Amino acid sequence: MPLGLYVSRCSGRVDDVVDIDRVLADARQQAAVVRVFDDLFDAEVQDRMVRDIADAELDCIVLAGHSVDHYVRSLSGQQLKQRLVDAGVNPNRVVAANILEQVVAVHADDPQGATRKAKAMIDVACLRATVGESVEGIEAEPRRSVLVLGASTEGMVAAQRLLQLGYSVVIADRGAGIAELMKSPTIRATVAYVAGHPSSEFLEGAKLVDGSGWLGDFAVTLQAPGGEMTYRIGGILLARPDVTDWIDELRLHFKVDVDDEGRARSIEPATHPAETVDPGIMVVPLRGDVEEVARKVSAADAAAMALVLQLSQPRTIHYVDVSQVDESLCGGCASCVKTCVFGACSIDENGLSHVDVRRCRGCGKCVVSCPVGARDIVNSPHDYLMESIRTLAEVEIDHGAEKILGFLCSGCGYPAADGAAKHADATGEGYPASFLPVRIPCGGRLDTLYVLEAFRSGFDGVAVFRCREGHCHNLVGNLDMDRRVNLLRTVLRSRNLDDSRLRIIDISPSEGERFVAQVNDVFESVGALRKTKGGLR
Amino acid sequence: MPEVVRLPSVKRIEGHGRISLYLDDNGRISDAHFDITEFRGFEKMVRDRMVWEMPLITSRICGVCPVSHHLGAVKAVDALYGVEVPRAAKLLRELLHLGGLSQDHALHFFFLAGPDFLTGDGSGSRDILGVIKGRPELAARAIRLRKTGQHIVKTVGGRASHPVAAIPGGMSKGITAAERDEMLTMVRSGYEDAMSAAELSRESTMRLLSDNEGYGRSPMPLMATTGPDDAFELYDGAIAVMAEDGQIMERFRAPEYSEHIAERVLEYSYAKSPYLVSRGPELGAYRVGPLARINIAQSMPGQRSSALLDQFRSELGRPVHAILAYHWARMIELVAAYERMEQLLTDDAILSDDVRVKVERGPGVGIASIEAPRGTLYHHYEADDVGRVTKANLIVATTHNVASLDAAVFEAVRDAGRDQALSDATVRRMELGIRAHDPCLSCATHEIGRMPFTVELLASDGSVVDARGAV
Amino acid sequence: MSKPRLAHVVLGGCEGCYVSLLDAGEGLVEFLGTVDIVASPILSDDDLTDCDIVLVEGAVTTEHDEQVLIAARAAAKTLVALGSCAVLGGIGGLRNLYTSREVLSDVYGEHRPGDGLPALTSRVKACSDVVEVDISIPGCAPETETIMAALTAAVEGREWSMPRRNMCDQCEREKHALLEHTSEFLSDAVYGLMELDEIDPKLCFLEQGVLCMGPMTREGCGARCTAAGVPCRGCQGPSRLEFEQGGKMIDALAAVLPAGAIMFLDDLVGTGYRFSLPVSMFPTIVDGGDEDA
Repeated sequence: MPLGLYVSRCSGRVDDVVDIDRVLADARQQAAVVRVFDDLFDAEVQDRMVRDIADAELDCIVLAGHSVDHYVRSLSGQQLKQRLVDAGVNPNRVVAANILEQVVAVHADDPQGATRKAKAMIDVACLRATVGESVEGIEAEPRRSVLVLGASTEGMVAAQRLLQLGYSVVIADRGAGIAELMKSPTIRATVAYVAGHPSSEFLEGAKLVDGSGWLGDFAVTLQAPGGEMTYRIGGILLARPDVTDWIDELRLHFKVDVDDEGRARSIEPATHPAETVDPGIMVVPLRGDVEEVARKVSAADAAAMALVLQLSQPRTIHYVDVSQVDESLCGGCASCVKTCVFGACSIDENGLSHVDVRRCRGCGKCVVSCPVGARDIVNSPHDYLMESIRTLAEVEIDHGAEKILGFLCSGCGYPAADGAAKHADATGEGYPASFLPVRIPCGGRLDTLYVLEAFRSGFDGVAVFRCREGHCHNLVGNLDMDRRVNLLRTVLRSRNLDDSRLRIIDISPSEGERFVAQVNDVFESVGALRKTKGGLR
Repeated sequence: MPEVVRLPSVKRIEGHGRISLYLDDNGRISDAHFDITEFRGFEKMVRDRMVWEMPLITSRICGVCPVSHHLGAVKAVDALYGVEVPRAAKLLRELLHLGGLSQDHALHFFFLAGPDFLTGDGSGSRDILGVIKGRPELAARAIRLRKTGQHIVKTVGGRASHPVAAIPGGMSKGITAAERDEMLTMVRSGYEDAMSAAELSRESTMRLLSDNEGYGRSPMPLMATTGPDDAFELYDGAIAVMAEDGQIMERFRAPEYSEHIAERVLEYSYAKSPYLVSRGPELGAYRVGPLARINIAQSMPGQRSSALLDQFRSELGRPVHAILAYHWARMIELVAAYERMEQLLTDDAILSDDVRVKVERGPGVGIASIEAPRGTLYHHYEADDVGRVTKANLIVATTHNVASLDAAVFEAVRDAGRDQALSDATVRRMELGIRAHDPCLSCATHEIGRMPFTVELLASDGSVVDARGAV
Repeated sequence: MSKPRLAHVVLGGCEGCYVSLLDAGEGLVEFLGTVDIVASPILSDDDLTDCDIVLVEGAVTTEHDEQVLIAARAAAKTLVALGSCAVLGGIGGLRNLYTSREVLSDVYGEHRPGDGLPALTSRVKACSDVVEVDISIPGCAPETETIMAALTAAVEGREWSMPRRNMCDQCEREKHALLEHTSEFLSDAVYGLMELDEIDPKLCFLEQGVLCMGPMTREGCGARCTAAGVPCRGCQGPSRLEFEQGGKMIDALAAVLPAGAIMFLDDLVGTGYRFSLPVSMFPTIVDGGDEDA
């Protein structure tokens, strides 16, 4: 499987710390193309990659430099990835190796350690790119209709814009919001426009009771005094991010990040103020004084615009995260049914587990709960995770140091680790390079086998960084993980393994400083344990 | 220089053991032991397990008599919680027990010990293949007897190997009328095979006794479970110990076992050796199993077995201490088991749905015994507040017979010289004596692992001088 | 053409597999006609050389077992691991929760036996831990029909393996609450079977609040225990050897039964690893393992 490995110097930041030649010493054995650039997002560099894909028939691309999240949350990353996909590489085989935020930024004082770790991170990314199966997206023409939740000023403005652009709109409000709004002189005309438009529909006293689907093709069921109605729409616009009831209901069916107050959070307030992690669900950003109409209007514009950009594409593609069930293994035990909070798993008439992909959020809990391994998550497959633990275990570390494996959930742990880079940049305070991270989609993806494998392969400790209670994208992925981990502690103790070698840490995406402190604390406690009880081997 | 001889692996027994012969300075055998070389450590392993799981865990001590351990454990847990199980459950458990015992006895007589004497001299290999080839009609009987026994175990216990249905408080399930009818038909049609086996064992025993004049007759006390008025009993009852002269010297119930039996650790074996407390460790040896039970029994469950018992006593007297008579006693028990199974299956109470009472977890001490095919089996458990095992002690049938097994070996070689001790004839006689007990070494070694049955000649310093051994 | 030479050797175990094989009765007699048995617990003399098939029953518990197994492998064209002790280490593997020194001194006290007895291995091992295994027949004990099917295949040189789905596939008990999309546990506590008011003869044991190893256990046993009103205890081992049964029990049941109850009211380790501790990622205790027992 020809692999292209592109390493970014990140304008010199990487080679300030890491010896790139050493990192790439045996890279040619695994990659057909290996190139080093100052900046991967440079247009000429991208052209070069596209030519390589054609010339060397590359199937897999590893981009070493910025964080994985950069390709999700920033425009430059999104565009680069899209170009590679357009050039023919499967999106599941474009993989980032985070050597910037999680290596050079935090290990500036340990070039040796950082170099070894960077090499391992690239190895793991190459593994991920080659092990991950090629996925096929579900293509559809997006529905040009939007559900607006909340008949607020923002909601009415956004609805008006959408109607003007030819979209049909359903506006749902928990109370009787429209009557109130009609009293406001500044918004009255907008409300009248929306109310009088043939493509609009109002629903008062509504609750969201069911939801499924994805960008371009959602199905949402609303319950109102008149009964239940199911709408097929292309996008959802949350016009009242402060109404946590809506958010709680949305979160039962879709991925929505929330902040510490339980309000919906966008992926990047500065550059993507309206986009949530679930494409097709937009949130009107809360900006300063909510009473100021001008701000509300511009926020509504931003959200409507973001949604229109998505829905005006001729086609949208949705990639399903979960694999088909292996019929030679599935005995229909229904562990997956019970563990899936989204109701996506069921047992079909043949006694086999079936996933309703429209409800699947890709958290991987069903994969973990499956006692026979009949199913997998395509973006973090079981074999990849097991092998990456072994790969990281082989990283050479300084004599006498402890080696800690960090599982970082994509929702909170991973962004917090990226945030640690900012803290390190500002203060010079990092953590030991023998902290080796593995990204998992959710705490609920943490299989007990991974923890056991970590100890078996020689890690002195395991730290899991996951969302605080109430913040998990997948509602209870973190709590399910806690239950499993607590039971696993019993198993560890039965083998005479001190269970304090396994640490669970709650964290928010913004807590970079605390991430550093926590990692250092883990090293301290595991180090103390090692001095009194010896290593594992 | 004194030496010890270890003979090769004794085969056709359940498990691995060896014979050790000790030579004195004059090169004569001065001592001999049958050593058990396995260890599995069940008593330690079951600690911290839930006590109601004991019937499922300890049945794995033995694949030949799992039923005995399954039931011994469940009776002990019943005792721990002070529960009285419904009558139907009692009947089912006894039926299960007898099904297991009858297949086990048939297996031993025809396939393990039988080849020593069933095929005559030189008419085939001394093993199951010899029996199948030389006496196909006997092989067919053995297969039928075993099939009936295993069918009953499977029907009542849920599985033929390591049955599961006996649970604290009763049984996890009852049986249907159709199942009862099928078992009853099989039992009734099995009498002929059982009676024929009894007759065959009588002939064989009489021949073995005359061929081995004077061998294997050291008197020892005999221990067995008894029913009311010392009736023959295999499932539940008080324990009686008969002295060498035939007088009952001790009677007790299972929970009092530790006042009557103690165990000592042997240097040379992974088995512990129990002894009668009243006589002390050196003189406290005793026997268990079919010979003990048939000696102690005052009455048998049916006419056929009563007649067989009369015949046994008129031929051999009472008490009988000849270990080669184990074979005959064993087959009388087979007939008795069939009679008792018929009685159980014709009692309509066995069809009742009322097969269990609910049992609440909690702390306690539970001790029970049962007559396993090879003799009295004790299970003793202690549990904490949530029902986790804090202590376990098991005294299994074969370990009671450790002293008798040692005697069987020593009597064959006493004062023999080295060459004579290792001669085929002597080794055969030792094996004959050992097999008569039907030792089950996986049971005896529930405590630890295993090794094949070898004979080693050892110097007094323990070094191996010579050995005969397979593998 | 000469008949295939077949040997049956027994390591540390209970010989239940051998009894299950004997249960084939007439079928066994017929089978014995098609092979030359050269070593077996039921034979008087063994000849463990140049075998076409060697059946190994039992786990490696002593150094002697280990030597026998290596000899068996050297002699065998096809090595068959028969039963869960051979395939998984089996129930005797629970001894690995302690060092062999602890176990010995616990059972025998100060005066533990020595005199030329085969030394215990530091831990109980599955056959595959010591030699390469060609055919595995898990089960404690495997069904007679299963053993005969595997043996016949081995004699005929065909591949054979146990089906790989989990036991629930063969279990006829009904699921109701398990199939519902709710986050409720199936029960507020975990019960021993004896604690149930009634043992529902048709309902899934997990739905009755009883720990059942069915989901974590490979099918092929015919679900005899659950049919007999007793929950599965996992004797067939996991569907895939690398999926450890106890670890997967945690993963599968954490959303099904309350974790605290599993931890405090039941025996997670003794149930989850009852038959497969020796093939766990941590097959024995760590930190100061025992070498000299």
